[in-house]
Amino acid sequence: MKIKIKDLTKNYGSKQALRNVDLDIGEGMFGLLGPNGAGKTTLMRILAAILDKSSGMVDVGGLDISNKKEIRSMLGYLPQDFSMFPSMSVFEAMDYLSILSGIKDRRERKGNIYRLLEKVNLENNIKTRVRALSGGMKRRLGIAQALINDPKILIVDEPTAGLDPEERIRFRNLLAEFSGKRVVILSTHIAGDVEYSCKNLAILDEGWIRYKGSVYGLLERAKNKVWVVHAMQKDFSFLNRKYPVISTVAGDDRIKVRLIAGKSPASEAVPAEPTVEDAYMYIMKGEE
Amino acid sequence: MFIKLLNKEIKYLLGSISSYLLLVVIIAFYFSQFEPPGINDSIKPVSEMEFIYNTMAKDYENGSLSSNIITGAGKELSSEDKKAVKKAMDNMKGDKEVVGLIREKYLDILGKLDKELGGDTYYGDRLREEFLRISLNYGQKPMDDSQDRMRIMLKWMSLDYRKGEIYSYRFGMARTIRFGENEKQAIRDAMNKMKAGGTNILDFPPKDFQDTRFNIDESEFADILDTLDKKLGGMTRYNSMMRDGLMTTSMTYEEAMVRFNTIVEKDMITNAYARIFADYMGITAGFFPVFLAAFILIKDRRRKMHELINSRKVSSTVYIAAKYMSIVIFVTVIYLLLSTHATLLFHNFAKANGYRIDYFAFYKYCLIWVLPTLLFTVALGMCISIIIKSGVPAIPVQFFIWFISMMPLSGDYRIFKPVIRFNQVSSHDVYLQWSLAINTNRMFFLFVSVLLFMLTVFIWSKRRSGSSFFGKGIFYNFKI
Repeated sequence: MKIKIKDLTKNYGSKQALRNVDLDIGEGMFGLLGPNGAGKTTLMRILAAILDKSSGMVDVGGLDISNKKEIRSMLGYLPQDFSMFPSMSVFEAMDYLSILSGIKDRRERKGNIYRLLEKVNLENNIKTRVRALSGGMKRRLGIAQALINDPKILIVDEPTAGLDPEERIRFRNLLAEFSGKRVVILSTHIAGDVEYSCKNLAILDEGWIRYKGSVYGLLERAKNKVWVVHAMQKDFSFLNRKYPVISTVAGDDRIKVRLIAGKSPASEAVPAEPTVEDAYMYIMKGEE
Repeated sequence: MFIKLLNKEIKYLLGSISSYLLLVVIIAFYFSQFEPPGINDSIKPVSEMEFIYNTMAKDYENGSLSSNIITGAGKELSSEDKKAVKKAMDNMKGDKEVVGLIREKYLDILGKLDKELGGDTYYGDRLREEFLRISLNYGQKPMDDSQDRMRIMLKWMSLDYRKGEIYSYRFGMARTIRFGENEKQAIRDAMNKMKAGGTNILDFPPKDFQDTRFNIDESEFADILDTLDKKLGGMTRYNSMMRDGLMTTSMTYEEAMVRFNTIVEKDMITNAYARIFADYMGITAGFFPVFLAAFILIKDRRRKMHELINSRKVSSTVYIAAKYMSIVIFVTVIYLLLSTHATLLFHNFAKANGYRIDYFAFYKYCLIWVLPTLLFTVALGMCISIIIKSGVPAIPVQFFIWFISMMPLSGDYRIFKPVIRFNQVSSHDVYLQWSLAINTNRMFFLFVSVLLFMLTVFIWSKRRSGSSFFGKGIFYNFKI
């Protein structure tokens, strides 16, 4: 199973949300990084067959994206902002969506629902009304519903937004566990989510692809571009103006500044091993 | 997939408060408006003699004459008076049925009784006619004689002219139109055209137009009334939709008996009552289901579930059809249950009174008359809500369409009226004269419902793929 995207463009009136996007996405987890408004959700929706493209080609496992019914039958989608009918119980909501996914056999539906709810640790909430679920539980229910038809492609849009750190890590692990031989596309603006779960990624910015390739390749790109400086307060303002600062840690008399620079920004600066977040910042700002 | 989805939708509908409110409204409407006869009631018209005999029996039992607007408070009957009443009853009935009494003998008995009771009772010649006119109502029928119809409208013109004002009925609201010189002249013109040589309106009421003859034909008469209505501001009593109700006259006992016989023989009673049942249920079907229909698709978006649904395999037609049919089935089941209740009441009535009834009549009219109205209301509500992306605007639109269908109470089945009004228990023959118009109307609304349904599926399907078809909806930001 492979997704091939060629020259994909999406316009909303005069605004271009995607500009000539070329991507090849294979099995395993694929990260889609980018700031808010980069076009990630637009791309996700096109792949989920709920948004028409303006131009270009999208091939999903040998099928053109215009074959919506066939494509919908092989995908699972977890939108960024979703909910379910609040008066339904967890089981009822899952059963309703199973029927919409075309699973006719009642026993098969029931078996799937129990198995998936167990996987996402919601087996004790089968009768709980959707309105009574916490944010984290709703997200887990979201991933369970996306897997109800055993999809070959799983598209998850900003799944960790609004979750506390512990829930985020659990959710990431859950996705990694499910990926297997599926194509899992994880869209996020949190670099850490990609770093710990994806092998390949693309960085989108204002509709353009800024980077596509492996996570390793991204880190390589940022090698010797990330520096740590223990700067005096008076020097910090200078560094902050001149270089993209990734993080700061305040010490007693100095500030530990992590920044991006093509060459050593100060005499006492030491090169640092880049993380995906550093590399992402480097691509977005530093490379310029 | 459709049946499974339909089951889910019905189950979900049964969990909503709106559904129960609709249920309560329909049931309340049924019990408050529809009046089937009780086991001991008679639907057979009562003749004048039977009525008078029954009145005597009641007076004898009560020990006083009945209170009424003719004679005022009922006079207490002394033992002598009661004896006189009893004697009159015996004289009327004897061994025979009351209806077989010779009229001269009947009048003689009543005259004597009135005298024995001290005179000026409703049994006497002086008050009896008025008493019977008020107490014995066999219903109304259209006037057959065009001269009578012209006479009655001329009377109304004269009355309105003298009053100097008239009501105009628009959107169910009565608005008073006070006459200026133009309106007065319009009435004078109409009266002059109706009666060649001019009519002195001051002749009325003394002459009462009883002897007036008209030299115009039906078409000229209709033109005069249409012109007058227009000049008075429209939708007055002279309007073609309103005036038929004025040109009626009371039915005689004989005519009422003919109607009764056709109701018993051709309609097997229940068909006649099923039409008025369908009239009331049609009123509910023409508006109230919009409260479910207008929000059933909007809810997906409001609950942020639309993307989960849109990305599923289910076809747009199956999805919309399941939602649509869930409301239709839910409401139809209510009507069918009420049909069953009505059928049981008529079963008991027929058993007690020895009539035969059509056990399928209520179901038949429910499905043929009420269902197309329901299909249209639900389809329109869903269609408007999907176009505008808001449920609210569908409600006033449906209300407007419903409202213009409400009047007249029967006889107008033009194809812009989704509710079939048939607010009368009339004979099969009366129904037959309108049956073609009614059937055409029902076919039309069935067809329109299918078109609206298809349009809803088309728009939903486009929106499902993110098409900006119809934009964001003009009321997108106005959500409730």
